[in-house]
Amino acid sequence: MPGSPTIWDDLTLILPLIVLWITSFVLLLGDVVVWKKNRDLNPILAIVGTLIALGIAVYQTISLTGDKAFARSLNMDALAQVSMIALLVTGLLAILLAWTYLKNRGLERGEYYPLMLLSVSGAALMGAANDLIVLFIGLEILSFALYVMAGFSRSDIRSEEASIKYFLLGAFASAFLLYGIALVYGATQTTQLSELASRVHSAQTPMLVAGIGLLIVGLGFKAAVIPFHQWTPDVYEGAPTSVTAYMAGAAKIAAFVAMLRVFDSLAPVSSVWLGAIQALAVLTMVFGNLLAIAQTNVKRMLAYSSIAHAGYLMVAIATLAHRLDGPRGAQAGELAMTGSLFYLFAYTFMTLGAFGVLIYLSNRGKDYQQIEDLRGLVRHDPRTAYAMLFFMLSLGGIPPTMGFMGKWQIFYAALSGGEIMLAIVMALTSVMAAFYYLKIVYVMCFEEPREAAPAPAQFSFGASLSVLLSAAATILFGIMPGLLYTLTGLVR
Amino acid sequence: MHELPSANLVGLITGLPLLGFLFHAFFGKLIITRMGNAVGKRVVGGLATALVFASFGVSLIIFSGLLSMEGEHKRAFASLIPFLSKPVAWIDIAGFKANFGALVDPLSILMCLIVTGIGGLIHLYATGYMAADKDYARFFTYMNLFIFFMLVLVLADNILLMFVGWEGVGLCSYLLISFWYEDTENSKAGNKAFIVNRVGDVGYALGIMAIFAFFGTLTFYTADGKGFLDAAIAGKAANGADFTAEIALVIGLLLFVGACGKSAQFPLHVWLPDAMAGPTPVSALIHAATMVTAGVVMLTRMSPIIVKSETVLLVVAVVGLFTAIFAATIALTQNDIKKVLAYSTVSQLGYMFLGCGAGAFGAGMFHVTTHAFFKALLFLGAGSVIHALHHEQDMRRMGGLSKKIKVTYLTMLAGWVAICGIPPFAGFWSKDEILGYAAGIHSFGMLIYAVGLITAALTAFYMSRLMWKTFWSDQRFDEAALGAHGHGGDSHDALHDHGNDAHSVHDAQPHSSGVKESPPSMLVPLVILAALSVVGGFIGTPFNNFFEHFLEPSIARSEAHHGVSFLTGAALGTIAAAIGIALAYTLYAKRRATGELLTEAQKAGNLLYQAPANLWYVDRFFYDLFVIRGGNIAVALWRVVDQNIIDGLVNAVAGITGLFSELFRRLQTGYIRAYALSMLTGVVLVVIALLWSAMRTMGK
Repeated sequence: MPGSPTIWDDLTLILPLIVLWITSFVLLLGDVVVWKKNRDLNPILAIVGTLIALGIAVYQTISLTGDKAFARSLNMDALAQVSMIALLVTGLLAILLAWTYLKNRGLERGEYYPLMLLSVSGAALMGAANDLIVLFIGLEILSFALYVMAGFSRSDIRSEEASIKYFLLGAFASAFLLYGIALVYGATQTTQLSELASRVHSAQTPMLVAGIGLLIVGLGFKAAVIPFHQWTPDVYEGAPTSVTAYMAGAAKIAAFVAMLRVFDSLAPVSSVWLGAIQALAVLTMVFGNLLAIAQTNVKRMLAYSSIAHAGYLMVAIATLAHRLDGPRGAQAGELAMTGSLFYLFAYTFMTLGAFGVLIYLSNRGKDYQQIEDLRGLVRHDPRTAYAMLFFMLSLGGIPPTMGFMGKWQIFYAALSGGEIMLAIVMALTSVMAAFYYLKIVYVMCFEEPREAAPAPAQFSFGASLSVLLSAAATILFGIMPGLLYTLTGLVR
Repeated sequence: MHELPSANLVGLITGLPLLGFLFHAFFGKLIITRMGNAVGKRVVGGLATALVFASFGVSLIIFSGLLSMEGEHKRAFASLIPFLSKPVAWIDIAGFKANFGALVDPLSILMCLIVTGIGGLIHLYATGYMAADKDYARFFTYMNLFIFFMLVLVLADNILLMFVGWEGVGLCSYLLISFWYEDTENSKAGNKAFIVNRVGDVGYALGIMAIFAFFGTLTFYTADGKGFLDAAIAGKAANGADFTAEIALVIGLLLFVGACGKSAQFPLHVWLPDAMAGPTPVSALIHAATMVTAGVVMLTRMSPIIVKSETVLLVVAVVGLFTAIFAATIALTQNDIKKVLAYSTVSQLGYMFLGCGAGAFGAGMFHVTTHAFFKALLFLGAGSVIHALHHEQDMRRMGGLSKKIKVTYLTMLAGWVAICGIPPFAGFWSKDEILGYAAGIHSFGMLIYAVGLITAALTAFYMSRLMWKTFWSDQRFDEAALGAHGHGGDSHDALHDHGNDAHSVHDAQPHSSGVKESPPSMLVPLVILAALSVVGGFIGTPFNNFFEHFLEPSIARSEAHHGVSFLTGAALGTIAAAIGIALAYTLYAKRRATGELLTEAQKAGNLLYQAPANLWYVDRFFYDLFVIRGGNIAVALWRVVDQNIIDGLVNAVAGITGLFSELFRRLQTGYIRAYALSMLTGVVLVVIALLWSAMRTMGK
């Protein structure tokens, strides 16, 4: 590029985000002023906007320049682009899920989709951040929208409770994150991640160490790492299911991509933080899975499952610590990076799929939330039951599904990086996980239905399409992971 | 041209049958219910057949493209995804790479033509044969899936993907053998096939691992010569080490075990005759023409490794030869028309292995091709006979059919002359080629040749016996009673509807009409295959051997050579066949009325008859050893070790885990202040831990 980049070059690089912002403002204004009552127009326009953004993001990924934008505060490299694609796909699936769900509950107020699109843009900013301040701003954009969405069902006290809990604890965690950023700045005189990487080694003061600790806490909260996880089950259960589905996917992607970035640049001082990350990973894997076993509510069970998956991803973060330990460590680190991205794709497909099944079934009039509600599903709705079966197998990491391929990559990375203990814990806790995922399969397939013939599900185009796409992706990328490697493999 | 024209179409060869599978799996049954039995079945069967023929069309295009390619290799790398010209990665993790790609070369395209061409004809036949079945859509779903997996097997550009196809066709074989699962015998036959194949697959899987260990890659060939077969030809294993005969011995023998399972070589042949429990089109397609030859295809693909070890070659040749004569003796004694053909298939597969063992992989593949023509024909003809006689399979209750079902008879006649090895029909050329090379094996060549000739005579005898009992002897059934008594009792291959709602094409015609010729959908494939059986051999005559010349780029050069001259071989081969036929003629012509050589009393007392009739006691031995004794050990383990020790441990662990789960669940109180407190505790601990580890590292 001749000369210094102009503001136009910078804006071009974040074009997908600009499309999202424009779409949300059009939706906000249009819903109030222009079309007022035509509620179907909201999701349709939101989908159109997301698709345009997705198209641009894919194009930019193919013609990847890897430029830094806005005075090096954004790093539009492969990691940013691929995570943006993952987030946009998550948003797309979530909009489809919300469509009839909101309508059936009289919740289709105009601000839902703008909020969601804004939160996607915040999450994408986190993924692209080359500056801790930008990362923080992205996190807040994502979180604020999620706080409001969690309390979207205003007449439902549980939804209200979820929202306020999430907000209070989120604010608490943000404070730690911000304090951590301040301490890191104090120690190194920079907030830029690429700068940080070259300065941390010579600035190992207690201030830096405390700062890193608080960064772990702030990001760990968003990623639902134990012991910063306790909001997760309450919020997952209380929030409207369409919000839970979206939140599970998007927040997880954003938090872990941000973690990958931060700990990648902190690799020179990995001896400082590796022990803490290892301990958190073990705690999260063991207790996430342990607590999931006792749940009787599917949404709560999936909340603990999301915690457990955060634990597996923490193993990848720990492996990243060995990035600078010779060629073998470099290869393991690279694998942890690509493997985590693959895993995040898998996680978003299978989790949105599982929630999607609940949403689809809830179109019968009553909310499907309890494991009991799924009894004998295969008898009266075999197709939906089979879809759920695949999501459960994938969440449990059983081949030939995507969940297995993702877990295998992280497992392999951990082994080749020398994190033998973590790999063993990962394998053992996966056995525990099989119990509660297969319990759902058992209940669906081998128990008698409670009622002879439940009300037939009202056909919902959006939910069906979303579940179908998730199921197709879960199986296709499980059998042919190579198709997705072409994307995740860019992040080397 | 050095590039393969229209390489982006290769994916369609596999894609079209896969599309058919998906379509029938999701909509097949729906179409038949919605559109009615008659129309719906025509749509489903027609679509399944059309897609396989379309795949054949694409194979022809690729074939002609391959012929137009220049250069000595005639090899192209394409994608198995339609309309992509470059293969995409299937697995690509940390140096382990396998493509979802196709290796287009003479061997793979030849198999594509056989699989889709013969497969299409058999699909067409099945639209008539299965017309009255209630699970019509399910049948074509499996058939399309089989074609897909078989094509993946032959087209794969690496041995791992080949294994996927290998297991896939095994699965389809299992599903189709036990297609009429309501009869327990059929399910047992399916299980037997699946389980015996597992034994072979263990060998194959170990072979794959050995290849990866020695060569560091699983891709056959690459454009820049980095595949393991490239390396084997160059004589180099991984890291520059030499590719020695010992390595070839290990890999070759392991792969050979795999080939024995799939291609029913002794002692893993036991599943194939039982596999005849499936519908006859399945027997023709899977258990005669295509899947069972996969072992030969695999050995041919691996020929650069196999030829490196004399021992492996000799083992392949001897096992093949033994299987050939062993199965031929059993075929002499069978009374079920499909069982005779099944043992004949095992015997002919033995010939193909003999060819490979002699180093003449091209001759082996030639026999694969001609055998596909005439054995598919013979099975379909047998199906037509069974159809005509309302589900009768026992040859003791046949006879005199040559005048009643003329078209079937004439086509069967073509198959008979082809398999007997009478010049100039198809089987003659390929069998002669194999025996010629077998005579050239440097140790025991002439002995092997002699046994091969005896087998040829036996082949001619049991096939003539089949023709006598079915067509030429006097009629031994009551035509008026046919169909009137409803459905035959013990017949496995039942054409009747198994449901209560399937009253379609066949039931529309009255059931008690005596012997009836099959509908055109069944006769057209018979006629085409008969024509191929008559003239098909001319692609590979010694005077102008287009076939083996075409295959040359796919096959490793070996020291195989003819041990006898063409004229001597042809004369001896023809004499052997003539002896077999003449013997059958003189013996059976005198016993036209009964069609039996020996009386029941003579059979009972004659050990020479009893041993082959009881399958040389191999099946019984395996049953006793593995099913009974092995089963007893398994039951003991289950009762003692599993139920007491292992289950006890598992239940204890699960109980403790559940207890902890309940315990820690209480921590989730729902109060924000409690959550915030636990977060704060976490913060303090994390920061302390970090400072501690920082102090430790700084202290060093």
